[in-house]
Amino acid sequence: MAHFPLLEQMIVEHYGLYPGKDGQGRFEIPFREGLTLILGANGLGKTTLITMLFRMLTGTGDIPLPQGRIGSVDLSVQNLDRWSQRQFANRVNDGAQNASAQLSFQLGAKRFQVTRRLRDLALTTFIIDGEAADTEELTFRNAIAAAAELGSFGDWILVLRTLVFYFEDRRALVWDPGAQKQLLRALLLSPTLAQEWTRRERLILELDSRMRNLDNALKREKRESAKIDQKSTSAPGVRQALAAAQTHLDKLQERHATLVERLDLTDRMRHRARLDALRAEAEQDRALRELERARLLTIDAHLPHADESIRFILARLMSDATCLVCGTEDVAARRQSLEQALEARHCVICDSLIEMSMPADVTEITDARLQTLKAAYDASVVQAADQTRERDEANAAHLATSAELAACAQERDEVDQKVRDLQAQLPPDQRRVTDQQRRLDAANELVIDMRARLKVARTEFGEFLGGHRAHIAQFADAIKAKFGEAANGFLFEDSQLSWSPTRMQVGQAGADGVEPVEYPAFAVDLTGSDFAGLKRRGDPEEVSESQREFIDLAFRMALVHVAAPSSAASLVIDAPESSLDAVFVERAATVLGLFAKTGNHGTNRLVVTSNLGSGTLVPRLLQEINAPGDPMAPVVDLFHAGVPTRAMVTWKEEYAALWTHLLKAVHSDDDSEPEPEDERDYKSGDDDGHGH
Amino acid sequence: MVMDTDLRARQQSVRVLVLLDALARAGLVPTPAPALHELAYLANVLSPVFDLTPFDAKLLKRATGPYYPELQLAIDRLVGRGLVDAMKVEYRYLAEDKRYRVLAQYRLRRPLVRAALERHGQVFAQEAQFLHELAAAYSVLSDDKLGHAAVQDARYADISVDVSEVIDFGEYDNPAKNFSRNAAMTFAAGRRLEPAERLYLYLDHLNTRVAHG
Repeated sequence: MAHFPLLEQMIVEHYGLYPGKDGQGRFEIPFREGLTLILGANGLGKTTLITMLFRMLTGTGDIPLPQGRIGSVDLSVQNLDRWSQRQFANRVNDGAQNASAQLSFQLGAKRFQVTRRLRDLALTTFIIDGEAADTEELTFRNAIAAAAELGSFGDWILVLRTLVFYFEDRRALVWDPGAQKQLLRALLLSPTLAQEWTRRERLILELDSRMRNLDNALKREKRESAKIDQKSTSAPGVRQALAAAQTHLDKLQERHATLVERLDLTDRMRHRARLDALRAEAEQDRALRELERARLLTIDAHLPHADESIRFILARLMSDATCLVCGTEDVAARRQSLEQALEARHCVICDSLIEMSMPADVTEITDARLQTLKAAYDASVVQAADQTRERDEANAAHLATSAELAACAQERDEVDQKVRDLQAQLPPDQRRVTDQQRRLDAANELVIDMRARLKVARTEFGEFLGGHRAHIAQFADAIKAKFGEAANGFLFEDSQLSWSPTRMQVGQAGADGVEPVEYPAFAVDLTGSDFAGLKRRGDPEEVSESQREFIDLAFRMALVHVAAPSSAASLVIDAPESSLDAVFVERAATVLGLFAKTGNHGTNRLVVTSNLGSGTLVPRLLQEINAPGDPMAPVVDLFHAGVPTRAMVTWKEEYAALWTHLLKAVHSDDDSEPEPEDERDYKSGDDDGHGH
Repeated sequence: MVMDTDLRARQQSVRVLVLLDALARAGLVPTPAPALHELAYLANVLSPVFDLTPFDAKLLKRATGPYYPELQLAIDRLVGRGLVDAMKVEYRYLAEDKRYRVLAQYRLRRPLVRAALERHGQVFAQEAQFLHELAAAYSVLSDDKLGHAAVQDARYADISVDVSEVIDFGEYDNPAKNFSRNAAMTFAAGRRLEPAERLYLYLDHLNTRVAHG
């Protein structure tokens, strides 16, 4: 199992943005057990500080993650370009010539201390368990990957970028199947197996890429060859027909490729629509049975001697206004008359008054509970009908696309044959034609061979994945349970994580009869104000912004907890309050506090950045953590460690008032009053830059 | 293709009658509702052993075992029409599934359905034989296991399908994922077995799995 970095301390020296205590150029950031809150204002360097923290852990290596979903990106480590290596130098006027940063952290049983020049991120000292190690970047990478028990340094960067650090770009994890599959692989398989998975997958992707490139080149050559044929003056009629057929073929091939993509999309949509429809049907059944049960209890009390089947039939009629005897639906008038008869304690068959002693606690027909159940049932009927229609439409769209693709493939094959026939009718002259044809044939055979190898490799990879997916699935219940704790602590809606492997083709070439492989993945289900029961939210657009971020955070917390059972971990979150309205702040503080106050074999470290006065999350979080001795101890105060911005000078008193307000808010649950020295001067730094 | 809902409802009703008939012939009468749903599931997943197409090749997975809302509605209708007796009607709250479930026991009113069943047996002889063999094999389960065996079934127990997700053994996905059928077909490798023998072996295997948790 993996280990995550347990941050201990970072010291930044001689870096223009953080002059630190007395402006002497030393800025210490102790990462406390529990919470470290980096507090500042716009322009003070909060994001720079956590980016520095990130770069201290990655060094000069990076992986090329795209902006959105990571797809099948190659996780091989690449060196940062010169501009990126100078990212901290470019933020200060001396180019960070003498600046350095030193980070101390634990990784499993190992303790590391890393020092880097900030002008180019070069490693200057590297200490492992108190012993100086080689300062080659490769030594650093190998040692870190080994201590984290990950298969590669690329996996380490992936873990940091998609799990440990939650930057402002809010890279989604739970809604990115590509990121999920890579993380689950990296964290829950042994390093050797994780690497073997990557190796096999890369082989397929490379073969797929080469095959498609060659295939495209072959198609281009065929077109060029056809154009040359058309320029010849002999057999003009054939050449004209050939040109037309070739153009037609090109269009059909384009259309075929488009349809293959569309088919994949419609297949995913119909799977999703079917899931929604089955869940809606289950929800309707749940609502019906609950209502029916309540009705039956009433009827049992009123008509205890009636036959069981009759009582059941009456209960159904009074639940969904359906007559089970004749099958007629919507007999609402009859339902009402039955309800009135029972209420008046009359027999529903002969209308005679029933002489019987009623139990004292009989559920009456008009109970508000019954009305609520009835309303829930009515809503579930509407939803089930709608989802059934959606399912049928999605399935019909898929079948239509499938039929269209089959027709297109048939037409393409026919036109392809026509092109060949026309080519055969051309005068068999010229050496050029013969040589050209020979080369095309050879390339064509190579494409066929590569396609066959791709098919074998995909099949083998699917089988390889099957066993290891099952291994990863063993952790699913623990991840789901931990997710539930965090997500349901934050959300007002019910939510759950489902183990839901995603079907994906490895590579972009057509399936060629090979089933897509099933990658390990989780999906999120959430109730909604207008839905009965849990509904799959397959896309971040299907939830609100605050839900999105905290669902993703809950997933990260769950993964961290399960993937590293023998060590505590760190999470670094840039501005968590940005998407929260006041109602959610309380819950967000509780959930973040839960992570910060617990941990496997130790207490986790939660590093959070925030602006002073940006809302109530900061004081609530500090109250939640309630650091012993001083609730403000977790604060790293950039107002005094950083260089004052023009806004801070201009709005000095406003910032001071915000600070006082924060202190009051934090101490509001505390017996002690804020000390006089807590009144701050925001123009000149006079503090050590952390804690109080 | 979208199936006509009335036709589908009629097919479900016939399906229930045939299942209850098969269960009655196997001595499982009156039939507890969970056993009826379980047999319906096993009939779906094992029908390829008899070269039959599953009546329904998907269902929503529940923690407590197979349950078809559509099938339950068909039973209700048959009770209403007087073709099936419902006894000991009770609703039990299942915490794992967070819902009430009807736990009635059902019995055919045979004089009323005999002719229909005989006609069905003539027209769909292979299906009728399959269901009778399956119900007979199913009857080896002790009473306490009836309705609780399918959670150990090879397809149902597949951990790659979570609760509240869809178990698909041939509707949209590849029928090769019907692990129950695959398991039944692997018994006595190298020997020719009758399809019915495979059903008995599979249910025996299921019985053992349930017994050992």
